[in-house]
Amino acid sequence: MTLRPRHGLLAAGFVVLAATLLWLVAGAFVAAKDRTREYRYLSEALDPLFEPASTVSWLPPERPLTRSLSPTDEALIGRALTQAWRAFTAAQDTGETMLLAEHFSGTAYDRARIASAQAAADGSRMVVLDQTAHPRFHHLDGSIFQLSASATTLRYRLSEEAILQFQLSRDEVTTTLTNETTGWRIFSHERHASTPVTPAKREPLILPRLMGINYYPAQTPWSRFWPEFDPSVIAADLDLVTSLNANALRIFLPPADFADDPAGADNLRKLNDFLRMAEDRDLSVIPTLFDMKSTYRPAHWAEDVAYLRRVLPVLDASPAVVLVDLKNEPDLDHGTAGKPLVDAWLITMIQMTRDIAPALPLTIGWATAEAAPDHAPLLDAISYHDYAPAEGTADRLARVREGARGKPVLVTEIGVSSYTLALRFPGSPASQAGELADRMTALGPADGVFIWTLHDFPAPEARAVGGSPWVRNLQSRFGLYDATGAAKPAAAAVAAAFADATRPD
Amino acid sequence: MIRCSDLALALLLAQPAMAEPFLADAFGLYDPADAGDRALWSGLSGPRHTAPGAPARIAIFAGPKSLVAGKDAGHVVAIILDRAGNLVADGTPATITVAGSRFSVRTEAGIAHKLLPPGTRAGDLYAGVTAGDQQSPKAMLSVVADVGSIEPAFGTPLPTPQGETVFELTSAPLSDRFGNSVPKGVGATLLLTHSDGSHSIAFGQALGDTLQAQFIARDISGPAEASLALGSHVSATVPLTITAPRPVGRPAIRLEPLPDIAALRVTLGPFQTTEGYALTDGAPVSLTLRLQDGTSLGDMAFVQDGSVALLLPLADPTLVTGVQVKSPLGPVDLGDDWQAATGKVAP
Repeated sequence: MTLRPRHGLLAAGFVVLAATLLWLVAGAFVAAKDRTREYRYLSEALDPLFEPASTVSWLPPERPLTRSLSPTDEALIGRALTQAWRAFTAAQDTGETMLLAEHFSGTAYDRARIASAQAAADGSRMVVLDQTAHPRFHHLDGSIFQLSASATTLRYRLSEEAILQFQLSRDEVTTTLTNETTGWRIFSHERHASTPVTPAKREPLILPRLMGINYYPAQTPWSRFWPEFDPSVIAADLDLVTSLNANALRIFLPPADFADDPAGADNLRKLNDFLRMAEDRDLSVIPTLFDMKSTYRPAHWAEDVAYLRRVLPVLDASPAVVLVDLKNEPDLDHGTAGKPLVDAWLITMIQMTRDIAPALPLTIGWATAEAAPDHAPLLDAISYHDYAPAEGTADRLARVREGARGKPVLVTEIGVSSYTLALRFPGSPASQAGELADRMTALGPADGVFIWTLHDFPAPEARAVGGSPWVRNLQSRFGLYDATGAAKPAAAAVAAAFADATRPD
Repeated sequence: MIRCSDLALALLLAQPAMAEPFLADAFGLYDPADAGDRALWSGLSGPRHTAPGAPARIAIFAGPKSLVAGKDAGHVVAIILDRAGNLVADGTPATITVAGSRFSVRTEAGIAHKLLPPGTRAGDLYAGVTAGDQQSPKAMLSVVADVGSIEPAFGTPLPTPQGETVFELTSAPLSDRFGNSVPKGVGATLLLTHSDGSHSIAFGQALGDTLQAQFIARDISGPAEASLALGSHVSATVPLTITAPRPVGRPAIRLEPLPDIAALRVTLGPFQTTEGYALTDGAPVSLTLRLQDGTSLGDMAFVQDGSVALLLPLADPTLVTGVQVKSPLGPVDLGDDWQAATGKVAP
């Protein structure tokens, strides 16, 4: 009898030791994988170079042309302009100017080469985000074309620590192209006028108190959500969300799933269907844009704007959409892309979203409360995720609210894993319920709280959660419902908290 | 240096008032203290407009390169640049010269151009542009005959081709509605319709002011009607007669018994014609033997090097009582020749 406590202590010590060893081995395994990744072909090691959607919208010519511009001409010239300016930005970003000869000729080639080299040296960049063009001259034999355009153009300059200069403007330009053996190339490009793109003053956002769930279907989470969209599964899940007394959902719209292709168009229809199903159940929706965005390189920003132009009209048309989350946890990208670059991208996308869909309220889903004050003046609501220790929850919320300039503050992700390795370590279904209830109590003053997530995911996607077996196990058990569909204790705890939070005073 | 959050506020409230040490132009941002040639680029640069200079370079683009007489307009276009490569100012005077005619024009967005009405005379046109004290290189346009208006026809009576020879049929001199000769190299189709309803076809092309096509008169002897198709136009038909080739002498027979396989190799030839040729390779020749028992034996082969060789399942050549050979030179009875050849064969 007297030995029992000693045995318990030894067992606990053994478990701690085993867990520590497992942690170290998993970490070493991931590090080794990172170091020894092999590619069969050079192209596999590079960022994928996809055919960009045209960034040129055509207006009728201001006077008759010698040769009319056919839809095929518009497509070819639009693509040539898009690719030329993407190549120009890439040349600034890399300092490699040889490829410019593919897209520029004559005076424009000389200027693009000089400007790219200077930009690579001084850290400045120029991105032509989109253009609205009037044809103004077309050679009878189709060899010369000239347009006047209003080009949404971003110019910025960064240091390693900060944005030094940022200009987003509508430039009035004249661009002359020549049709050569390899296709259209920009021969001359001149700017005549420029108007800053300035957001209009915004009215304060009034939101209902949002108590919601971050949502993926149980069997098709992350990148499988939109391609394998099953309306019957979604309808059943939304009913389940409603049964938890929730009034909101947060969903994710990866750019890859909403590309300018038939699959993207199909997914836009699915998004529309999803929003209608949510509206039918009085559920508000916060769509999160740019999920799993792969790169911040400025050569891709025009494509990001094209994605906004495809997705935002659908969101703008739905009464269910009460807030748009521009980017999930961009502060986690500071380490890899650099904070100034991430900030420049965020400001650009905020401005362009305002320009495309002025009525849509915007937030950013910061990974931590510490990042939440960033860009607050440009946003309609402040949101962050709180996976930090539970004891500081209320203080963090209070600090964020202080910096929120009176705007609504939402905590759009809280969650606890019920994963049990052994002896209720590191968690359990019961501890999940308790910790969620405690955190929701601490977040009482918040204007919104969203749980991560509705379902357990037995095999979470490595691209989203990483390759560590330990992390994957934890991530697989954040659901309110387990893999069999049975409610965990947390479901009842959340339902009770949501009922309290949404009960009319 | 501007912190990002401050920058965001500044964007919201007073974007144009931001302190910006670098200037913006059509190709990005640049340091005005280190502008170099960039300071000469025209248009809006920072807060200032830079005007272009006088014409210093002219790029000329004339096209389409091949204009159909009476139908296609031409277009002579010049992009006029100053010394720094800027498009010259709107309204800059320029002169476009085409085949000696001068046209005064003014530039818009650096472009001076002249649309030329369709010409009727085939030939090369040279165009040039001058602006200020600058002159462009020469550019060339070609006006070609309106082939669609050419009516194909044969001229003088057609020849009487000899069989097994190559012969050429030539059209009358052809010209379009403006008198321009058919362009060299234009393709045409020449069709012979034979008395049995079959057709022979050859593809010709224009050389000089006529169309020419060549035939080989093999197996097409007899009366025929010739017609010429150029585009969608077809000429009237013209009769001609193709003479069958005539033989000279009789083809020789050589027999070679092959007792091991109870067969006989028969060599016939050469088949010679009055034109001094042997029958061309590939001409068909058939041999029919009548045997003592009343049955027949035969085979056919194609001429190679003037002769044919046949292998017959016949062990004894003396059993043959009749020999008939058919070739493009006509049928011939070689019974006596066979008997003579049989005598030379060793028993």
